[in-house]
Amino acid sequence: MKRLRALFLLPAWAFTLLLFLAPLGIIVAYSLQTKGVYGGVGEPWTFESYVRLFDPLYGVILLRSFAMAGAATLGCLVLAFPLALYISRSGTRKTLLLNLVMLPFWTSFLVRTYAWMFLLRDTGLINSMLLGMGVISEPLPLLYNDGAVVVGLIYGYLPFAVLPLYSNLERLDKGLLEAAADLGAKPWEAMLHVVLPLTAPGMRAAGVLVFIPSLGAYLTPDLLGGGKSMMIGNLVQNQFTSARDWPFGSALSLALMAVVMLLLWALLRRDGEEML
Amino acid sequence: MSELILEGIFKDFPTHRVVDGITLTIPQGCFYSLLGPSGCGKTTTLRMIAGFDEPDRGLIKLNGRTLNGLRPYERPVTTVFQSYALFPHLTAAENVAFGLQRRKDPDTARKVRDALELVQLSAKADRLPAKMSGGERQRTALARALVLEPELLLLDEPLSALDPALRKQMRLELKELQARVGITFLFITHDQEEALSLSDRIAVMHKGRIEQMGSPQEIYLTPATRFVAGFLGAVNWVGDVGVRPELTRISRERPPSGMRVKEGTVSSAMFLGDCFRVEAQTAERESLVAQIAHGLGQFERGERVHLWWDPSDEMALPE
Repeated sequence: MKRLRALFLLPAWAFTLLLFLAPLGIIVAYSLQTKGVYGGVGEPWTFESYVRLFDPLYGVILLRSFAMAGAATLGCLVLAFPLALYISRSGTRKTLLLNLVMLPFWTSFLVRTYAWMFLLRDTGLINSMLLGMGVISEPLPLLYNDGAVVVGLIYGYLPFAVLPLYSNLERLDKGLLEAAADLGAKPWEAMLHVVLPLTAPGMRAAGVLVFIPSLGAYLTPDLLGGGKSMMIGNLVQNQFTSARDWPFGSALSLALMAVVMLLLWALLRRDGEEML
Repeated sequence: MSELILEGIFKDFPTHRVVDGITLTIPQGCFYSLLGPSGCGKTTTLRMIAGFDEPDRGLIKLNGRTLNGLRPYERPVTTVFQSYALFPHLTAAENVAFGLQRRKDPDTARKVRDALELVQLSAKADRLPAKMSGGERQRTALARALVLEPELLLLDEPLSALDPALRKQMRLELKELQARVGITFLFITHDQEEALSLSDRIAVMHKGRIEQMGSPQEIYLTPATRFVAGFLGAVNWVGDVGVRPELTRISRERPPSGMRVKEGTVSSAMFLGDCFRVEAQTAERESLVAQIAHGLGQFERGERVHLWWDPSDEMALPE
């Protein structure tokens, strides 16, 4: 029995070792070496890259990333909660609506981000409509700023917030809302004092699922931020390309990973397996 | 004017009529039961009084005020739900405080303490519903509804989730509690023993209508219909008359004169602890049951016996 189990687990172990642990090991090794002149790494082994992490210049980018990922998470939760609530009360149309939420996944994220550029740029749909109607005389600066990046992140990760909230709201006993009304709670009071507290696990799950990919986002800030709005993902990318500093790029990635894991641990400690 | 009045209440569901013209009056301070099998419309009636459903036709009046159209949170009525519907994220005390906090009652802390004491739950005040026993949940739900001093308390099969021993104990407590607080209780149940032992008045419901209203004794001893007679207890039917098994006697000898007598053969004899249950078949293929106390003899399967009863104990209910 035990042997058989080991045998069945073999592919998973091989996959994890080869495609996750091995690359991680390589990154750790890179981060402890010195950068080569044309990229790559070389001797001597050093902690210098880790020391540079504390340079205020990078600290600012890290904080910016946190702020933008935080804003995107907040935006997603605020938009996803009423949507998930609506879907959970839609009876027979639930499946259709859930599929609509997931519909964007059927096309490439890259293409969809380009679509946002066509919407937001100076000659884009929104500006040309507003100009055409005479609401504005100059195009609004909608693209290539922090706002555009946050909008792009919210757009990209909204489904990840809707799904856990939906499953949480779906399981919520409707009898509790009747009980609240029976005890004199107006609908908004029932929402605030019963539904919201009982959706806390879903909120945490949704928050984690949006915040973590937002923090490491690279494509969205690159395209919608236009290089002016740099997040930590772009900084990592830079180190491996134009800056040709693989050790520092590796150290940055590992630092990001450590921060994310710390956050996850702090959150998951609270509701443990209930969330997963 | 101190009373609940239902006047010609109708309610249709897409497939059938659930409540088919109910009219009744519940006096202030009464322990009133709506008794009936599942699907008879009793729960829908309760939900219309609480405000979760609106009647298609008919008036609901409480102490002179019409409740129709008022939202549940606007009605001076509270409910003890069948599954209790306690808020799982709140402790017993917080559950009890919920309604008072919505009213911004300045006396919340004292009232919560008193309500928990009333249901003997003071020691469990800080416990979450998940850590409570069934009886404790039941008491919390009661305290939560009573603390708001409603003009009417609705109880939707509140004892059905408890195990039998606890159910009997809670039944006693419920009766005492109602007497102490003096609030009108409208109790919904399908358990005739529960309804008989608790209620001042009972309305028996069947297929959306009220079959009979009256005191427990009236309902049990002089049922208005065959349905009521059969729902409240076992009946021996002999043509158009019925008689309760506990009023049916059995003997080997001929019974005294003036009694109604049937002869039969014992088909089963069971010892039930507090009595014997003897079943006999008559020549007309009627099956009659006598429930007899200890010391009134023992009977064997296949024995020829006389079954008899006092004609004044008969219920005349033509089919």
